[in-house]
Amino acid sequence: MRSNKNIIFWGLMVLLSVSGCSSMLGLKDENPDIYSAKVAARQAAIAQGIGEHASFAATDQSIRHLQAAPSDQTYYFDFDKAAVKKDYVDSIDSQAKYLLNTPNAQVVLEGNTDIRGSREYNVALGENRAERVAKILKLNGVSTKQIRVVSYGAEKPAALGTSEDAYRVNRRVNLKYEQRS
Amino acid sequence: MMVNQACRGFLLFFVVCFTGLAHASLNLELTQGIDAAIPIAIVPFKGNDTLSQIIQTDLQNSGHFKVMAKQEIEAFPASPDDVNFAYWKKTGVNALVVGKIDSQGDNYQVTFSILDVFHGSDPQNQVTNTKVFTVKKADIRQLAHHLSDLVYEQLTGEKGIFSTRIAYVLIEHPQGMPTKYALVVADVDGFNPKPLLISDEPIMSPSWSPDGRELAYVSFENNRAEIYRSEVASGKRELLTSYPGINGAPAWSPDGQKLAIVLSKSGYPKIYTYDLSTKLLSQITQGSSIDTEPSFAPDGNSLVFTSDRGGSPQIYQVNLSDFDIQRLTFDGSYNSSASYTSDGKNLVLLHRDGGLFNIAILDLGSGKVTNLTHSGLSESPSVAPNGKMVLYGSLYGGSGILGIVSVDGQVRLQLPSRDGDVQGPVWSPYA
Repeated sequence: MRSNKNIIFWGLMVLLSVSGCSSMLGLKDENPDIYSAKVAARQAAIAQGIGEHASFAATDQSIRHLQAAPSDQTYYFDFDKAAVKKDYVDSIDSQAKYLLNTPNAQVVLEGNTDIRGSREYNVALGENRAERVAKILKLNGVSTKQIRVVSYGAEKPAALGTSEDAYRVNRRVNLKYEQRS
Repeated sequence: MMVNQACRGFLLFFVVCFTGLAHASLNLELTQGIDAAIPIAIVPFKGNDTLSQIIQTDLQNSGHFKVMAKQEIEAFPASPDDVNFAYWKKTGVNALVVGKIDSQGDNYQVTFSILDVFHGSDPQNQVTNTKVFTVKKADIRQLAHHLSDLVYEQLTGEKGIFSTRIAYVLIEHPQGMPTKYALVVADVDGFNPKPLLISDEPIMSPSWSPDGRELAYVSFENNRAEIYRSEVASGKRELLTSYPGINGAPAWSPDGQKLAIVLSKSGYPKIYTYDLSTKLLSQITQGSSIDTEPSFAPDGNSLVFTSDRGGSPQIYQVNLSDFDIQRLTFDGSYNSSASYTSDGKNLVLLHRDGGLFNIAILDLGSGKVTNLTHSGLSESPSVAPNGKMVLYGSLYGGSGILGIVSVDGQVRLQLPSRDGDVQGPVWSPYA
């Protein structure tokens, strides 16, 4: 859906730039004052179009937070898995774009696990998760100089206890901006 | 680095004074003893009964002795000449410990005897063991533990562990303040805890040197994993490794020359050895698996380690001469945290069964795995130097506590802490 809108939008922009704004809008033969006012009005309409496009994704708070950049993020993982969920890829892409545009910005990716099992094995599992997120940033072109990976394994739980809920919120990678600009 | 060390040293001093960590204590509680416990009486020593109290607690907590309650003692011999064997035989005890303490300035002179009551009334077969010690008054607890070792060895034939120590990580959550982590060394009964390191960031995986004088461990104090060694007596420390990625699971070699460690600088967590004199690294395992938790065999020629190269965490052994690797565990989908008993015949490890994580013992001859704990919330097993007891971490009532269980599963003790969560315990070598 989104990519269709992208194509339409950019297609329109190309057409407009190639053929000249005013002739496309059919305003060539009018009174110059009315003409400029109408052009201004049409341009204002296009400007609004750009605005709507940028905020179209923010239909609910949590997704807006995930997409916003620079913004610290928490990405959650399934038990014993290091695969990054598809839902998070757009968020990671947003952070990547910001990092590409802001060469002095730095992020740390902190890998974590739930508290069960061997502590040292959990450090390794946490690192695996953080490295998977780092990989997506790097695939977007972000330099390793802007990314720091550290795994705390089970040593910095977000929630204490032995409930499934506690386990779930501990299996996470925290993306934190150590420097924003 | 030097200035940082000095600042941290000062901080350590400050924090010890103000957090009251110096008074922290683990409370050792026997929860189960063996059926065939040896009946014994420890008569309060003439002059001061502190020593006899400690010996009584040590032997009772070993689970191998049924110690006569202090209030039941009606005769108070201080030396073998005062002992009425007929009377003591009637009380049902097999052995008797008597003694006396004389104060001499800053020292105590302690005379102590172990008597075999069973054969005692026959002068021909009387078995008595009398020793005299002079100790500084401050060292009285240590002497008491040594006397417990002597009693234990004489009556069970096995070496006692009462003079050994434990190290563990203490985590405090002070109200409205950031979490505090400490690496603590204490007597095996939980007394005299002393923090070796206090930090705002996690500490993990302590490992004793074979001479019992140092600990290697992982610290996140610089917001990354690093391996340090610390001299227990002086607190002097040295940063050993700070490579990119994981620096973890240090394990001392039996000859004290090397550490086996985990580094992920190659892209995956692998086992290396690190020579403590030359500082040279030697990569031991290869590949794209997670390899971690190395532990030397008693002869130093091989290591066991945890690896998911087969799909899930299992225990493997690697020969340090030819790097040949054998898988050792086949029971269950998760086995980790393995170390040898001192006779090299068993591995003590963490074993998952149906979602429950318990400490288990693997008989390397038969391949049989037997659970030693049953709560399902266990971690970090560490074997005592006499190979008979295992120290481990557990969750109990939402708190991290330590437990001790004998390798036959018959003796169980708990060590909850008053001050926070305790985890990652390791048993020292013999003193």
